[in-house]
Amino acid sequence: MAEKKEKKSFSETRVYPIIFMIIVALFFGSILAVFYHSTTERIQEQRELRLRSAILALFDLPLDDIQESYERYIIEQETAQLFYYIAQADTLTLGYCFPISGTGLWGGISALLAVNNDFNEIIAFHILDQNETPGLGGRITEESFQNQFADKEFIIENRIIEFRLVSENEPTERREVNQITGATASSQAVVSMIYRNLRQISQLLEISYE
Amino acid sequence: MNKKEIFINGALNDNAIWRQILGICSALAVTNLMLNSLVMGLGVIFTLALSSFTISIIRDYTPRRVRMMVQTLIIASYVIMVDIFLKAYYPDMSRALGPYVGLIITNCIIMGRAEAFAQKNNPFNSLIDGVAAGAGYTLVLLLIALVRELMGFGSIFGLQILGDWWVSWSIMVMAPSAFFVLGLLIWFINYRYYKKPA
Amino acid sequence: MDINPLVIFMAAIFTSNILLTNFLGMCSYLSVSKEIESSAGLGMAVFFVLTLTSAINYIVYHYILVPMDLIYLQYIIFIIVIAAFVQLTELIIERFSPVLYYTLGIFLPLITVNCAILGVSLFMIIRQYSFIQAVLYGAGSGIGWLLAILALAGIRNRLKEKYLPQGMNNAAISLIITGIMALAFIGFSGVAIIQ
Repeated sequence: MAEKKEKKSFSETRVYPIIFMIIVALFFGSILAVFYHSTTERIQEQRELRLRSAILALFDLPLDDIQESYERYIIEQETAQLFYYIAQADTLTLGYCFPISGTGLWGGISALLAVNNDFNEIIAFHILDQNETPGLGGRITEESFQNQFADKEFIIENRIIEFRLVSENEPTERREVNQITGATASSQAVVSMIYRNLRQISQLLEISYE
Repeated sequence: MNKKEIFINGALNDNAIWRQILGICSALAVTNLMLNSLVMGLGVIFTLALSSFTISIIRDYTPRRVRMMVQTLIIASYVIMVDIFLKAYYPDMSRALGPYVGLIITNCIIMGRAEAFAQKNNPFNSLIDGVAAGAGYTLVLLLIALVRELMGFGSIFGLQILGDWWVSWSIMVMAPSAFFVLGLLIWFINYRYYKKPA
Repeated sequence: MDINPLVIFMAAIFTSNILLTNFLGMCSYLSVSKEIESSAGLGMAVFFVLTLTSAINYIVYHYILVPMDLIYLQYIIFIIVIAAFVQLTELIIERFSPVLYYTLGIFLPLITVNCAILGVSLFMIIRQYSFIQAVLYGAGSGIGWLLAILALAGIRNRLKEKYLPQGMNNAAISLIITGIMALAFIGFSGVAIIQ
């Protein structure tokens, strides 16, 4: 009887809620810590896999076994200021792939840009991450928008050009792309990002078009 | 109440439908695609069921004063599990849902069920109640997504249903349509189930 | 990110209003907007809490969670910071300004569960804002939320005496009005404020 009374009074003391909170927090905290640390490796792997399959897809390389294809076709190249990938089949160079980034309406945009050997034509373009408004600017990730940049020449009259935007559904000339209706700012952000990065890359790699 | 009654009560009871629509706000943004809505709904079911279960287990030991804090802590822990799971196994989905997974924490339904049911019932019944409330919620999400995806993209779960003749309504992809569809849905439910106002 | 913080601020108010484009904070928006006065009170409280918690959460995230490799706990930590901050504000206001407590204080407990507050903290991390950008984003979102709830309260006030189809009162009509408002706000995206 006396024991029971004592126990009850403990649950009414001021310390009890605090101790209870600490126990609950520690319990869930440790479960989460275990869960997190057992998956970090996998999250890292997934991230790498996603990047690698995106790079392979730019050059239309086989995607059945991503690790194997990647090791076979892609060479990672690093200079003092630039990190890029070279796609090679046997001894034939297919092209170069540059990770590029820029600023959109809301936050950063990061993408992959593949260019050909002569460095005058885009092979393919793929957006990895963006924060644009869903349904509006977010549509820059749609295939129909990204694929417009494929096989587009960016050197005209010995200079790197910035693509011009024309409204959706209008036919385009070789230096034009269709923008996304209602999202001029995001479309412009992509076009400027490509232009600025191409100029920077050509300077760093000391490519001249004279 | 037997188990079946609890389920039906939780999933379809008039009051619950009403509550579910109010709790939907934190997930409306993902309802332009059915797949995203389904994953979001599953996340809510998982969090709702397990947090109800856990809160019910410790209900007799929880001091009243810190009750809300304990509930928030438990709900947040399960939400983090969902988030880590998606990041590790479905990274594309995790990217598509963005911060909305985290916002499950502030979903009024979860707190609501914890207070209204789990605090007073045994763990197993609370689990059923949680699954039921989550299922009802997912149903509402999917209904909205059905309208928006079908009219906005002409597809269901990414499968093209409507042919080339269909001109997609781009407004259905954008935010305002979610308000319209939800408003009409509430109107319909009110009209159908609350004919005689109390 | 080199986006002008003022652009973020203006966009958070108009073109990308946290309520009208991200649907955050809708529960209290629908239930409180019956009266203009209480809407103004709640809106101001949201603005106040949103601005300051985005600053605090920014500091907590970048100076505590990142160095300690505890990023995965961000949801819990953010919600605790918000809850604690709201409690603290309530205490301070009650103590020093009974008038302010009367207008703001009664709404403060509602704010912890307002998804807009947590949402802003999560968005600023995902978008990798700097401190100034984060604070202005928080403040802009707060003003945007205030603007939206005031507009709805004003319209609902006018609708009080009007005939509405059966079952369309309260939430249903509020949502339709909000949809029209959202459309109108998207129209602002044509305006170039700062280049």
